[in-house]
Amino acid sequence: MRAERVRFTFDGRPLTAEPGQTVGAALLAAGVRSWRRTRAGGRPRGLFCGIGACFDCLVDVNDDRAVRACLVPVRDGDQVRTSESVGVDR
Amino acid sequence: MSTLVADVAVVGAGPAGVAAALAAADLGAQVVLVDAGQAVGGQIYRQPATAAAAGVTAVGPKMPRRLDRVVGHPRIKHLPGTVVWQAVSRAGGAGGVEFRLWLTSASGRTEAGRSEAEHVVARAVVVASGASEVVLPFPGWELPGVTTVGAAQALLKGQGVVAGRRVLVAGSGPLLLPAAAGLAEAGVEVVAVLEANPVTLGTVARGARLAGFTKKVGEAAGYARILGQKRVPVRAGYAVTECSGDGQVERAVVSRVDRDWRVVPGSGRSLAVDAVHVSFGFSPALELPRLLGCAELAQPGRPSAKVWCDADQATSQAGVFAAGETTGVAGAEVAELEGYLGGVSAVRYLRKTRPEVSLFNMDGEGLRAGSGEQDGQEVRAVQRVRAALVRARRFADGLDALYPWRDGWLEWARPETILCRCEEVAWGAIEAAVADGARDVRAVKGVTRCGMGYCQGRVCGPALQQAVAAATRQGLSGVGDLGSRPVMAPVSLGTIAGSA
Repeated sequence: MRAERVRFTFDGRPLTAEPGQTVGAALLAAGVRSWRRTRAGGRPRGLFCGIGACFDCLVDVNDDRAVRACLVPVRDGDQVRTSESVGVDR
Repeated sequence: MSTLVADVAVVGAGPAGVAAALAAADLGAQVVLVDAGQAVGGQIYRQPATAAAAGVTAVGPKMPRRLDRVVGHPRIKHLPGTVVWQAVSRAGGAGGVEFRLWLTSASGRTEAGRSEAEHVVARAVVVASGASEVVLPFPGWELPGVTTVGAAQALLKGQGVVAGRRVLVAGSGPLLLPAAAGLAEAGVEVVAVLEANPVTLGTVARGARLAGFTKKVGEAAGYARILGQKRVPVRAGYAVTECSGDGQVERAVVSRVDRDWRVVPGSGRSLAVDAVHVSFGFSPALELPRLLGCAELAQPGRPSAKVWCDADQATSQAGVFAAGETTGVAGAEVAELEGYLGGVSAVRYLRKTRPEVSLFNMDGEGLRAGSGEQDGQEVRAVQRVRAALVRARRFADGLDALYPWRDGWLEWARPETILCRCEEVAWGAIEAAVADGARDVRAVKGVTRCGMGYCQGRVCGPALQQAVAAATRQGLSGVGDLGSRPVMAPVSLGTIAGSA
């Protein structure tokens, strides 16, 4: 039996993930390489260490800002957004 | 606010932590096992989290079945997806010490399905928090698509996902080969494996054979067979010295390097790739032992110190034991054996320091003054572990000696090359700080913000040490390190306020 795919959005775009997949893995599997811009240089960043140590893969998920995409499992209905909020006053 | 009370808190559930938890629990202790991962095994024995990952052909060591017992063990409470962000000890009466560990969600996401407990209070701690992967900076290493080798492993083994279809695996150390073999087996075109040191599969296999480690010869032969079948060239004395691309890595420069990792002039060749996986080995994760005040030992020629411990895995702090990579990076076999010793030693410490106190929820046999026969079994088991450890460490030391850390990579960097990824501190700023009189890494950090960002110097620390050592013409030991501060993981101010 094939498990249902998890549905989520990335910057409004509908995507799906395998159950159990992290946000980072799901984005990579969907061909998304980058989901953060650095605050000084505005440079794109994606997944680097993959195990929660480097914080390069920070992403906003629902109301949680700047969580590590490599560690957070995707849940059905999650709204994932490019993180531009790290260290920036709003 | 809930608090878990245990005899022994084990931090980290790789081979060292699992073994420590099993040893202590089998002797009757109530154990709390805190781990950032969703399943036990740590990075080396990463378990599949998805159906796709479960279908990936496993390459490399698998978690030994003897460790499976940790799941569902009646005296082990496993807290997955959880990290310690603060730790303190205080006198707990009758000569003992009480440790309090503050916990938070590993991912930073609220309600991420982890245990609700906010503290663990325990009377002994086994630190088994592993190591951080070392990556050295080069132009373009911050581009999306450039990842650590560990990331490629975690994605493939944990998630069944690959970061690129045409990749290079580069750096130095024994991890490159199984990682490349795993990717090749999964259908990724591995353009080459580039080992900066003059070490080939043959060198490793010959060394292992001479030392009598037949299992390791077999492992190396297995990787060689896969890489051969997939026609993946393995090149010693080569490195990725630059990556470029528009918003992501599209090209990598592969250069021949000399014994010190300096680029051989004119040897660079540009290749089209969509991912580059880099690793230069590992350095012990010292955040928790530092918070607990454990003494350290410098590692000559290596950027990071390691936790000092005695032959029983006891650190300089009463009640704190350390096992696995925090005591020196030596691989899974050594880690597991140290874990057993650490777990036994933690229980022996509790018996000795608090003989009048029965252990929490103690249901039995082990920890009470055992029968003579039980004591004899325990002593013999410990002797067997020690003998195996001597052997395993010999192999690990031999392997370690094959992969020294050189400083020729300093010439790969340009003034605009990013050193600190978090704070975006470029190489030129480090040189300027040294030119202005900064003599150690703390001073450079203060001037440049290098190491002050989210990762707290976990990524740039080793490179910064070597950079400052070279720029100031001092040895690595002369420039210090970035140290670590209380609060080991990012937590919200609300969490800190709520913990008072």
